[in-house]
Amino acid sequence: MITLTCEEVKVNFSAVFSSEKLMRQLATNLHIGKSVFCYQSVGSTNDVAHRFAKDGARSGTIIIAEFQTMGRGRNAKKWVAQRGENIIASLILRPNIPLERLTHLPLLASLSVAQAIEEIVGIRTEIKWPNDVLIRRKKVAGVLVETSAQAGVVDYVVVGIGLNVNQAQFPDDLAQQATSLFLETGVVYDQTTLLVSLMRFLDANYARLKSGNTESILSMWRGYCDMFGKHITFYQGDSRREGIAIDIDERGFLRVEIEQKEERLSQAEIQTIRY
Amino acid sequence: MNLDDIQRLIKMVDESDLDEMTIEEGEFKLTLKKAAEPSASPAMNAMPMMMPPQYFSPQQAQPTQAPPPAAKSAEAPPPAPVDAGKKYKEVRSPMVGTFYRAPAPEANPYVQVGDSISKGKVLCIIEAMKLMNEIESDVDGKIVKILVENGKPVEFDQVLFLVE
Repeated sequence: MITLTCEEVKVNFSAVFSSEKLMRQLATNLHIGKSVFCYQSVGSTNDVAHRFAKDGARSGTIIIAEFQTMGRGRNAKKWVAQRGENIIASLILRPNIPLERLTHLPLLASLSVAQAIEEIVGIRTEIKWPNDVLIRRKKVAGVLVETSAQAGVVDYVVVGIGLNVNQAQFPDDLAQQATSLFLETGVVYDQTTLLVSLMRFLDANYARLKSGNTESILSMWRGYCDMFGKHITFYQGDSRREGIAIDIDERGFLRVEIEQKEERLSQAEIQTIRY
Repeated sequence: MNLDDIQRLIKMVDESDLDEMTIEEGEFKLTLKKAAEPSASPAMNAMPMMMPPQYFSPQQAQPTQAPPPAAKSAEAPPPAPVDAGKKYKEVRSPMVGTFYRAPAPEANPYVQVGDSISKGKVLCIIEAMKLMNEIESDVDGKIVKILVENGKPVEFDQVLFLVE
């Protein structure tokens, strides 16, 4: 039983997104999008998703907001998005698969975003390992996957996705790194159409993950990644390192050649890619 | 229901050929489960305890705890010793990744040495592939040692915390 706070009930009616419309457009046999909650404004859709999941929300539930007052990325970094211009969504999944296979989820999410953009916008994006979606080296979408485990058992996973759709301006400090579909094409896109496409790709890719067909996810993901064979610099904690990105391994870890020795990284902040 | 009652229940399940027993009363739920391999591990685990034991009255427990009609198995394992010489409980990493003690670089750590913790308390984050995995305690107790430094890589099953 999901409980909404008074504030959430008041802001529950989004002018941009409609739960009904979204659910109608999604085929009934999809796992993802079985329940859709649309808000004008929330603190962060990931936080709402965590609360709903703890209250027992079913797998496939999606929380969408026009605006986040406390949007965040990895390590509580701020995620800035203008009101009503973008897609901010969090998905609750209960995968019931071994924890080590969950590391495919960030790849799966970025792949689905890239596929949806390609279908609706017709642009081939690039993915920067593991899950940033870029157009001409600027970030157009980000993913934040969060979960919690007790004694190695995961109850649910929250997949947060931020996609810059019609935002025309970014704050100065972000303008060099961030972009939107509108800025890249000059076209204003219907967010619902994009969202429906995104959910369909998420659904298809999630079905692959569930059935153990991770190789197809990895191979499609590779098709969008143009880092391989290139010199990269990256941070691990405070230490700056460099090497040649080779590929990803079966877990999705980044294989990097550093001083003639191969390392497999589960975590790295890629700083630069020398094209 | 107090600790004695629970111990009595454990003994009873142990001596029966039940593999698993669950008692539910309102929001209180107690599941006793025998280990899958009787030869390899202690005979039972008591989990999960959703509510403090005092919410449950022993009188109400009586009807549910009756052993099954089936005959007792002759080869039921003997009750295992509670402590096999191990002084501390260990919290281990469920995955390969990077260990973080706080939700953000400037934030306070989730736990410090000396903190009392209970089951479900978030102890740290393990990150792999930008998947942020909050590790919750599966034991009650007090943190006596944190074995990994913030930001360092951890292996699968590596011990992260010692709990008293």
